[in-house]
Amino acid sequence: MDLIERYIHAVGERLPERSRRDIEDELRSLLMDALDAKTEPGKPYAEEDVIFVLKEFGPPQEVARRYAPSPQFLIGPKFFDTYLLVVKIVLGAVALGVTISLAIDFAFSTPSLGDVIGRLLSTLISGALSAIGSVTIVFAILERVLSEKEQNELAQAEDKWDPRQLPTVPHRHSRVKISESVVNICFIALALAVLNLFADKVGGFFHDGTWRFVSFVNQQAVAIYRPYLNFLWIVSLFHHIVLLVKGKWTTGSQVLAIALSLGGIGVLALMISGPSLIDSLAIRSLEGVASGEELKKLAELLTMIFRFGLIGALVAVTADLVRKIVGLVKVVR
Amino acid sequence: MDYTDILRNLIQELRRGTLTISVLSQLREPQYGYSLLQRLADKGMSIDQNTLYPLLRRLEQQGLLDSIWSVEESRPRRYYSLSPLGRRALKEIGEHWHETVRVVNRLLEEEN
Repeated sequence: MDLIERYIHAVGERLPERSRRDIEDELRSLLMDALDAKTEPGKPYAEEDVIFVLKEFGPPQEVARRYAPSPQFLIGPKFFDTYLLVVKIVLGAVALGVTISLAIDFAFSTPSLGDVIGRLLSTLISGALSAIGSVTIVFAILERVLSEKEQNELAQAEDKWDPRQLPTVPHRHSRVKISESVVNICFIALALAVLNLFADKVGGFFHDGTWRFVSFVNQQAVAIYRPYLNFLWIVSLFHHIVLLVKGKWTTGSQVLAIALSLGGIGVLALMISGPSLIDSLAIRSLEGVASGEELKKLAELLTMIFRFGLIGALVAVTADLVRKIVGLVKVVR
Repeated sequence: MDYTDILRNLIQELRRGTLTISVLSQLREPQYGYSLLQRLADKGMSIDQNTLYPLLRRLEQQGLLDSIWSVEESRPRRYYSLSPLGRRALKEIGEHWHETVRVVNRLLEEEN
């Protein structure tokens, strides 16, 4: 009967090749036995009976699944924890790689603000996605290719754990470390002082006949960035003082921390795309100390190093921001 | 999950534990899939077709059952029966069963 054959074919398609023919034959025999019980001998099977028997047997996908050797996971329970661990490691590597490649790129070009933020986001995201995809595929293959025995051997590494190797308990999110707050406050106060009062005092002493002081810092650039940095740092100072006084984190503090991180990213991007803080002209004016060529190279080198530093800070702040957001989401859930 | 679902799951779990031993017990003589289904149902053990047939294959793969395609009757049918290993397994699991029943009964009695 046509319906029966179609059913058997539908089940067969979903069966492993090796046992397919055999299971199909058996299925046919069993279906017909069931139909025989409903039909008088010699008479053809009635369509309603066929439909009834087939429906009672169940949908082809389900029937095929029952004949499968074991539950089919993309990545099974034995490997899943290892998989997550590898994903975390790989993401860290991707972040590092992105930092280096973007740093090289931005150092040798003049990106606009939009460029910096756009490229940072898109490169991080696409890098992360393809990394996760590759790891997933590798583990999916492992899941299917390794025999039971090999799987058990791999999974058994877990059994050999030692309680002494467990990490120490991190200070709970809610408690504030006093030392951390104090250190932060001091550093921000220092940074504010330098930015507003001593910006022109950052430089070096040089001897070319007499001792001279030359500031490495481009005052015009400082003037551009000063208001943003002031705002960011003053808010941050306020944030840390509040934390110190209160003694614990609140959701509001965490949100503010996230906002500050975003602000930090914005300012960093601005500084990367805008004029450099390093005053190349000032450096090159040190004629007595070294040759014009050497000075020029020094200036370029300092500028580039500074830029690398800014980009590194940018990626670090972005990664920290992501961590903060994940942490906040977990708590809120 | 409400109570009815939870209870149903508990019952299913219990039945799942008794399936294999029930099936093995009826295969001292050769049976084909459908006849075995009927036989178990007649004796009060109703099994879903979709559970029984794959189970028979698995037991054969494990070496507890032998099977042959018989073409004697009107249509070819696959007959299963206990292998020598299967006979031994049935005897031993049967002993475990009696022991288990004894222990669980005692545990349940203590409740009262």
